[in-house]
Amino acid sequence: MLELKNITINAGKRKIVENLNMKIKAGEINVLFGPNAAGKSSLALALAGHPEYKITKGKIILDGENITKKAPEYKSRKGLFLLFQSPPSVEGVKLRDLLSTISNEKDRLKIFEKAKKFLLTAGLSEQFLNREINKGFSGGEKKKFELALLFLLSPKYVILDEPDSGVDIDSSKLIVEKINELKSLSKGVLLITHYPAILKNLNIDKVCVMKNGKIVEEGGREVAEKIEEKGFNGDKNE
Amino acid sequence: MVIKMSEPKWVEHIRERGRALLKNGRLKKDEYINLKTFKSKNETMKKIERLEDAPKEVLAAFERLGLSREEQKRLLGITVQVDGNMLLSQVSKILEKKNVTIDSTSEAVKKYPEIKNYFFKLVPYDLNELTAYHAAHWSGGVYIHANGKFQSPINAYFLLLSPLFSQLEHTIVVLEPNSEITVVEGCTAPIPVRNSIHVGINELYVKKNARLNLIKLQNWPSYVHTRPITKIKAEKGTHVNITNIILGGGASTIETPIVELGEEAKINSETLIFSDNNSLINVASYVTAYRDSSTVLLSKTIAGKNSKVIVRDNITAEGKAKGHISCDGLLLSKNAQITSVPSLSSHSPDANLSHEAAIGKLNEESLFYLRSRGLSEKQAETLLIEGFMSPLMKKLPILYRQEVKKIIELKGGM
Ligand SMILES: Nc1ncnc2c1ncn2[C@@H]1O[C@H](COP(=O)(O)OP(=O)(O)OP(=O)(O)O)[C@@H](O)[C@H]1O
Ligand SMILES: [Mg+2]
Repeated sequence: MLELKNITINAGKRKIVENLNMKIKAGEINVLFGPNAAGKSSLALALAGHPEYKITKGKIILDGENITKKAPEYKSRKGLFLLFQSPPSVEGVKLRDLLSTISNEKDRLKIFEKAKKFLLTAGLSEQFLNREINKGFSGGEKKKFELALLFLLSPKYVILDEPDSGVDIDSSKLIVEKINELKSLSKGVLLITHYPAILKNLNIDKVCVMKNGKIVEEGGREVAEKIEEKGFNGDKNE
Repeated sequence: MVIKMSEPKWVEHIRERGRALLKNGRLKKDEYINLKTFKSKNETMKKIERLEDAPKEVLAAFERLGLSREEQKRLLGITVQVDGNMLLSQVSKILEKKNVTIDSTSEAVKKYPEIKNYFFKLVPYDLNELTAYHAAHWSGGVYIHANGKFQSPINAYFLLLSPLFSQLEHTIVVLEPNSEITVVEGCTAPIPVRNSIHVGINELYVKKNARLNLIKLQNWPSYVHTRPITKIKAEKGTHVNITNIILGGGASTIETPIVELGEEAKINSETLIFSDNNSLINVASYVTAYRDSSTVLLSKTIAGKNSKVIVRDNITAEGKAKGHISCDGLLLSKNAQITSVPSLSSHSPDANLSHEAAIGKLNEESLFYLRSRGLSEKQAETLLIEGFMSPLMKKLPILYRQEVKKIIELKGGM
């Protein structure tokens, strides 16, 4: 289980997330909704260990281990994966280089083969192994590339920060399939999204709503349906 | 049997002029170099026939330049100068058949009278105190004369093994019309050599429609000062490609490829500078460009520790020429400094000149991205530095690519 206990996150002097609690269990899909600027991506980046998003209070417990203060690479190696909402382009560095660095020589060819396979199943061509990471990728290609990398690294817990934004209908279907596949592989999933509609075909377990850095509502599918109908300020506008 | 010939009169004359200029003491002095402390004559190492027979310290120096034993054997034309003297010149018969001559410049001035037309003709010996000193005391260098096309690279290596020595090699490369060759020049000193200088002068003549690929690899420790001057005259319709790799180097180093670019000629010059410790590296490229010529000067600088690098590029258009300067800098430490000074001057309304420069540190977002995929901070930095260099590394022959990477890793910049 990935457990967030009473987490507060600062970026610079600003408090962005406050006293947040969440439990992400293996094999479950947790959905996080929230208006723009609610603090969803800040939460995701802080969990992955981004140096600019400081966890000033609370703990992250991954399968019983306190990883709150650990380096990004440590968290990654322990099985935490963040699919970036907007992954940066990495000048001059190809997926091939990245994989060469994290593998030893004897497994290298196998990993390249695996990478090609996952690129194909994510709807990309093998060429992406040899392109500079995210450089000149279209919006949809970036998401698919992240997805391919996710399956390749095979983490235990994944935070998907808007994997479905800016993708076409067919790609959106593919992404939904992939998220269900994660569940069947017993991964713990935190899905950040703006589209309640994609939940129809997703086998979800829990829905949370974040506003101004706080969880304001929790529940099942019905929470998403309410948002779809009335928006985030539904109650106030009545 | 070797017949010892004395130097021709015209060389003696140049030496005398050099000495006279030094004596009258009016030439511009170098703020880092006091010439009185150096010697320019040294004990001669016995000349060898094969590189395998070279002394240990020479082979060690080769490792610094990144050439493995196996790779050394494959080279068809190779000369090795240690301090002031030629240690080895291993020139395949194939070169002769292709009308390519390679010799030590010290020998060449005795054997080939035409060299008089090229020696100290692009670089004036009264430029400054160092050029006068060079004129008076020069020794060695290579003379390469090509009247044909030859694919595989011709290699000239200059090693500094003696302390307090001034290495004054004079290299002359002449490409007759329509010729095509690749010259690789490597310069280094193994770690224990202290307080020596390298003042090489290279004069390159690329005649009508000829093509020259020049790869210069310099790997100096931080207590060797270097002042090499490279001057190229590229005639009409020529193509010149220069790849310049400067790794670390003197507490102060100046590298100056100066080019006169003829009509319809093309030059592509790419420089990679990697500095560390307290290096102060000054790199300058000046191109005078004539009608319908095209110039690209591209540099990538990586500065670590307390080093300072100044990159000066200038294109002067004398006619309807195209030119572009691009300078990228990467700072690896808070104390490092990179200065880019691009300048363009145009004497023609039809010239098309531009420049761009960007200096920064490693991109934080990219670093985090790579680390979030499981790379350690060090691994992520190394990948990003390699990524920064990659456009330039791609241009290097594969043989040197891995090696440059290795050298930079050894230098601890990664
Ligand atoms: N480094 C930072 N320094 C200061 N403020 C920041 C920083 N990063 C994010 N913020 C601010 O924190 C708030 C939350 O941003 P965040 O990106 O987490 O929102 P989000 O919920 O992901 O929004 P969206 O749905 O638009 O992606 C925003 O007001 C944003 O401007
Ligand atoms: Mg966001």
